[in-house]
Amino acid sequence: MTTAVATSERWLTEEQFGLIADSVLDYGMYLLSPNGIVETWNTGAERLNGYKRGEIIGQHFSVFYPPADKGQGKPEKELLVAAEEGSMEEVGWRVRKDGTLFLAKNITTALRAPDGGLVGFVKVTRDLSEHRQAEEFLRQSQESFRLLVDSVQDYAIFMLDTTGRIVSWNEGARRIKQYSPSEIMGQHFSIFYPPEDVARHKPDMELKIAIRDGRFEEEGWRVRKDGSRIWANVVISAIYAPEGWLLGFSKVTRDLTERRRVEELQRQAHANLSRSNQELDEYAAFVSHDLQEPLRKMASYAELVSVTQGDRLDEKGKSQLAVIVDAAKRMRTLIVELLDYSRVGRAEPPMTRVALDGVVRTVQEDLALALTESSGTVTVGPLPHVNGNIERLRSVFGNLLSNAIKYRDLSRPLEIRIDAERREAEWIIAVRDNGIGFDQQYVEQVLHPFERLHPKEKYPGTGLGLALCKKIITLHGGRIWAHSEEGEGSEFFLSLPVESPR
Amino acid sequence: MNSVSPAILLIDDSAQDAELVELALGRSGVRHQFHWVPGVDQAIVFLGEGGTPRPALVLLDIQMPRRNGFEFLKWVRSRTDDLRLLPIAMLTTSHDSIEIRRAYQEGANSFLVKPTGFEELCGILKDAGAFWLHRNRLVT
Repeated sequence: MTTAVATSERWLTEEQFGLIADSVLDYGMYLLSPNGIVETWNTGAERLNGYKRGEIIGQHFSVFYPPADKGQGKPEKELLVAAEEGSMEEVGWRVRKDGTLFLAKNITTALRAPDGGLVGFVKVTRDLSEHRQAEEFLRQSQESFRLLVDSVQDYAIFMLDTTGRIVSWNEGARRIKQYSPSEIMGQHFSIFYPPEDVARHKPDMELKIAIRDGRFEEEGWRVRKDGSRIWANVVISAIYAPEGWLLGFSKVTRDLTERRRVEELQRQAHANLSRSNQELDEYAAFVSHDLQEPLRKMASYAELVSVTQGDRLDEKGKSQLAVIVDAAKRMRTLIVELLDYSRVGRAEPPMTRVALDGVVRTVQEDLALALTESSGTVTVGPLPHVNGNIERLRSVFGNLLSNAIKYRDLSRPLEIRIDAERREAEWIIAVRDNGIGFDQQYVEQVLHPFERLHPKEKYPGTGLGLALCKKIITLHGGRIWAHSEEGEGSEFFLSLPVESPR
Repeated sequence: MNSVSPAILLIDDSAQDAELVELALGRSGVRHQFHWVPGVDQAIVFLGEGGTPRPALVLLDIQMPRRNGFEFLKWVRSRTDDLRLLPIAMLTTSHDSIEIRRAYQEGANSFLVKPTGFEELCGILKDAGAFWLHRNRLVT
C-alpha cells in the first residue's frame, strides 16, 4: 500500500499526509483505495465515527452509511461521481460505530497518479448536527421572540426600513396607534407625527440621529389614527446587519399620556398648595402686625392715662383702666402664640446638631427672674446632643419650664429636674416638677390646643403652650407624653431620635 | 459737649406711636432732643439738611407706607460719607426672626420691639436712650 497524495507541485507521502490529517481534530480525513477500502484514519475521524484506527483500516467505507443508503449502492455511486468529476460534495446521514446517526458534510476527492491512473480517494467529513441544532434553536428563538413582541400590549414595537416605512407591527402598536397591520404596513412613520413636526422634517431628523448615535430617544406628542394626540416616550434604534450595512430601525413607543396627566394634576395641586401657603403667610403677617397694632395702642394709651392722669382718678377708675390694659395684653399674647403655633411646620428652619444642655441653660437664663421670684431650683442631669432646630427646642423647654413655674405648689419651694435616658434609638428626656399636678385622666386635654384645666383668672395662658411643644417634638420625629397626679407634681416626657452617625 | 443735648430721630408713620415715644422719653430722665418724621422720604430730607445736628440714634419702624424701614437702612448704609455710620435701632411691632435677621443684615445696630403698654415702653427707651445717647461714642 504505497499511496501518495498530489499537491500542485509535489507528492505527499502517506506519512506526511497522516501527520497533517492527524492535526485536524474537527474533520474526519482518511484515504480510500480505488475500490473503497479505508487505508488511513485520523483522530478527527476517530472522534466523529467512533472507530479506532485498528478497527477500521481495511474495511469498506460503506460501514459509515445507513442500511437504506447501502442497499441503494449510494457509497459506490459517490465514488464513481468523484472519479468522474474529480470530486463530489454531499450532505447526508452517517452511522457511528455505536449505531447513532449524525448529519455530515462530505467531500470526496479522487487521487490520480501523474499518468492519470486512479490511485484512491481522500474523504473529508464534517459533523453538521451541532450546526443544525444551533440553526434550529436560533430559528425557534427568533420565532418566540417575534411572538413575544407581537403579544406586547403596552408598548408599540415595530420595524422601519431604511427609508422609514413600516415593515412590522405588534399588538401594542395597534392598541396605541389604532391602525391595524394591513392599514399601516408600508406607510411612512411620519404619519404618527403632528403636522407641525412633519413640516420641520422631525421624523427624518430622528432617523438621522439614530444613525449617527445608534439611538434616538424623546418624549413628545404623537397622533393616533382618530387624530387624538398622545404624549409618548419614543426610542428609535438603528439596526445593522452583521456585515455592517443598515437594515432599518426598530421603534418602541410607550403611551405616557396618563402619567403626564397625573403629573400635571400634581403640579397644579402643588402650585395651589404653595399659593395657599403663601396666602397663609400673608395672612399671618397681617395678623402679626395689623391686628396687634390697635391692641398695643389700647394698652399703651390706657396705661398712659393712668400714669399721667392717675391723680384725677379714684381707685375704682384706676383698676378699671388696669382691666383694659390686662385684657389687651392677654389678647396680644394670644395672637402671638397662635401665630407661632400656625408657623411651626411651615418653612421649618434646617435641623442642625443641638446641645440640649445649652438649650436648657438659655431657657433658665430667660426665666431667671421668674425662677428667683418663685424660689425655684432647676437640677439638670447630663443631656445629649440631638438633631434639631435650636429655636424650636428652646420654645419647647421654655414652655415646659414656664408651666412648671406657673403651676407650682405655693406651699413648698419649686423643684424642677431635667434628665435624659437613652432607650434604644431614642433619647427620653424627662421634665419633672413638684407642682400642683393634674388628674391623669386629663392628660390628652393638656396636650391639645386651646384646652385648659385651670381658670384663666388664676393661671393666665392661652392653652397653646403644650400643644406647640407637641407639634415641635412631632416635627423632630419624637413624641411627648405626661404623667401626673393631683397635688403630686407632673412629669413630662419627650422622645427624640438619637443622632444618626454622619 | 454738654451744651447741646444729643438728638434722637424717630422714623414712624404713626403719630400716636410718636406721641407715646416722645412722652416715654420725656419721663425717662435721659437728656435728649426729640425729632420725629413720618416716613423714609422725610427722614432723607431731614438728614440731608446739614444744619441739624446729626442724631446720636435713629429709631426706625419697619412697616411704613411707600418706603419701609429696610429701604431706609439700604439708603443710609450705601452712602459714602459719615452718615452711613449712623447708629440705628429698629423699633417695631414685629419680633419675627426673619425680620430681625434681615434688619441686622441690612445694617441695623439694635432691634427693639414695641411693647404692649406704656410703662414697658418707658423702660425700654430709658435703657436705650441712656446707652446710645450717653454711653456710646460716635465718630466725630
